[in-house]
Amino acid sequence: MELELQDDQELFVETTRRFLEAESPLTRVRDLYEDPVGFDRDYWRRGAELGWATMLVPEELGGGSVSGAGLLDLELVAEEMGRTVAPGPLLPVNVVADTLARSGRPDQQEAELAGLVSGERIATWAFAEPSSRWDAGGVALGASERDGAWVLSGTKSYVQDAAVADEWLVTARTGDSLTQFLVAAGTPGVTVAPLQSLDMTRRFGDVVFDGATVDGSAVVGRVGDAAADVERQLQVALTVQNAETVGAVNRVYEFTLEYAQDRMAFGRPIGSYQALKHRFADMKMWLEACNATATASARAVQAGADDAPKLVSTAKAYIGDRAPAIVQDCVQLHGGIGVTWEHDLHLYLRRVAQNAALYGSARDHRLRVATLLGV
Amino acid sequence: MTATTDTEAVEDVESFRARARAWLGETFARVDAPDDPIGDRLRVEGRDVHADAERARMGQRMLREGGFAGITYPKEYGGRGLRAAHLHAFTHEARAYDLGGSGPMFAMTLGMMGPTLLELGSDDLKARYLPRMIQGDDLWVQFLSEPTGGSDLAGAVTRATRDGESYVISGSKVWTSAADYSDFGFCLARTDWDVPKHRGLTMFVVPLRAPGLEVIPLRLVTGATGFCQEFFDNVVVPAADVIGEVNDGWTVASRLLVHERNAIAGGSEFHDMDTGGTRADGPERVGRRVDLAELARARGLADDSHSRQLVAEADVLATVNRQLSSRLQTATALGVLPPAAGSLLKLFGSTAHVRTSDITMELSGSSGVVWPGDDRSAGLGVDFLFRQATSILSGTSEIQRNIISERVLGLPREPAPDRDLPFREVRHNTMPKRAGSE
Repeated sequence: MELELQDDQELFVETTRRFLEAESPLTRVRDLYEDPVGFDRDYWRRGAELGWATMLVPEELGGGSVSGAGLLDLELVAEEMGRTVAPGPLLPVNVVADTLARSGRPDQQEAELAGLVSGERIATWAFAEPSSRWDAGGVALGASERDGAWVLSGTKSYVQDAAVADEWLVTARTGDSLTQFLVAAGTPGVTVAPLQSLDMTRRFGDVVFDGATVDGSAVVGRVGDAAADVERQLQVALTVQNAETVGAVNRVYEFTLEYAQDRMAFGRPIGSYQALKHRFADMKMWLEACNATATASARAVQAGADDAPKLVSTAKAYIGDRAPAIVQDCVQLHGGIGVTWEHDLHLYLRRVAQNAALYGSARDHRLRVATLLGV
Repeated sequence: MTATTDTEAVEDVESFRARARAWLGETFARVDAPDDPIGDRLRVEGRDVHADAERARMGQRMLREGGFAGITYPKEYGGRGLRAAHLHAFTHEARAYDLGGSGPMFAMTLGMMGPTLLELGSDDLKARYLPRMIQGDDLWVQFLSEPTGGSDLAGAVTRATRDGESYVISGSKVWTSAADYSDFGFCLARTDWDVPKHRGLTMFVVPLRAPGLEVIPLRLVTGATGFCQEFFDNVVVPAADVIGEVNDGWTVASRLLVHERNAIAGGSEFHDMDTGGTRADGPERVGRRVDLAELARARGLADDSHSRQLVAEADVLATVNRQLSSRLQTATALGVLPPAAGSLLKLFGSTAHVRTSDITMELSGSSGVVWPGDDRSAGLGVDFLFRQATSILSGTSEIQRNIISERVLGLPREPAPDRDLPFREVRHNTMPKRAGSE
């Protein structure tokens, strides 16, 4: 959690928090477990009215953020959504809106951004493939030009909200380089195969491109020049993901600490035993470190700092390891109730464990840090 | 809190920074790899600490002459009466220069004992000692831990007995950094045995060359000598040299520990141990700084995925350590977390050091334990021998976890049977007889 907020940021957080408490209590999250979409379109549209999808889009394109530092405002929303394991396409919609605002042509911006910002339309990023790699080198889906149109062949996997999205931002290989396309749902030759997911409300799918043909106007940015956009998309995705994870773990730690003070065993609160106190101390240390690295990397991405790639991967490498470990230790501190469906812990464990693996595991990001260190 | 007491116009930080930059460039040589006499002596056998101390005093004297010593200390005691922002600006500018190791060598004197003296010392003590600290004349140490107990600081059994206008101190202190080349010490001693332990302690100023005080350097597991043990055999100090009140030494010790934590965490308003290049960010604070990427390459492990992950893991820990330090400084300044949250950083740095030491050992392989040449401290395995030191000194990790759980998280205190008993009735260790003495 950011420690110092501007007044308008505080108000923004407060509004989001109140909305989530009213519209997405944990009982609602449980109800959505069987829902094939995982969120209510009207809920998302009303969330968007609060500004959930405007933050990375400049004002002249219909967006805007309360602080002027859009990614930091987005970080705040992601944290709040983590605290309530809230549903919704916050990450994919903002990633796509950001790239369209930065690299889209004016006609693409005209056609797409208003719908994304208002929550009427949903877009998602189709990046990883069945190889489970989350780096540019893992992109095998090919695009070849034919008579001014592009033919896409390959499979995207782990695509969040693949089935409900109105369009997919597809990262494709064009020879030695990458090119991105905005592909509308329903395009002939494209099929979506739903996947099962650990999270209660987050849905994923494979998107299979079987020689699907898209018009040249579907290209986002320049042909063969998408590497910088892809890096930026990864940075934004990881910033949102890390903030959400940290929000979730902060909340789990809070209620576990309360439980340790209330729960009696052998005539005293379990939180009075040194064996447990020391574990709470360790967890607090890891948690503050998670908070610290999440916010530091978000600031670096917001500022476009030279070391942003390394700091984002540092944050994911640390949080990806620590966050699931903290939540599992909180399960242990709860005892038997912690492994029941009835207790809310698993709602958080599901989200945190899923985030740990997607957009690159701690291992993947350590290897990226190693590369950036020159080894 | 600011140490500025006068109301005259304060120099703009940027103009101060520009003056500092110009003066540093004219006065000191630039260095790439800063010397760290404090950390280095813990692992290098035979380092001439007296020569190190002399260089540091000289460096501090030059700072005083240039008008850059005691930047946040009041002018009446020879300081500059400026603000923390000036101190940090100067530190930043001074990173690339060789200031004779005065940054780390004066860390205790100007970062811990000086501020405590300023807060709690009598006017006479302040006038007598603060100017000498600032102009590099005296180095100070703290006599706190005893052979009978390290973590249980308030259980000190070194005694001070009133005799007319003096006190007579007898007992032993240990784990004292720098006592073999320093000049004065803060000494915590028991003055009343009939009250609970925290209420019968007094803090004294003790000259290290006082008759009856013997300082013995301790040989560490690395083969080097880094800390000392002292034996007090009826050492006489004036009653006027009590810091704070008689039997209120615990208050002084507590402030001292706060300043210690700030000084180590880089959050001191009075002195920055990084001044003059020595970087001190947690995991690498004790033991040499190793470029693990270079080590992996040199050992032919650059294509080994496991080794690359280890290199990155250590780098991640170092980065997060700095980020945590910054976050905790902000959190405590805003009151979001209590001052005791400094223990989170101490614990993080210690555990990160342990992990980094293991990683270094793994990457160095055979070359860490058998090596050519005649330098017995050159092998990286020597640092591994000393791996636990950061988890022990300045409060063990176990004590940090108690502090965090009780003072940050508000969990119930550990039961303490000694809390309300007169110290005389508390079960405690007795001072061991000195080897060779009768």
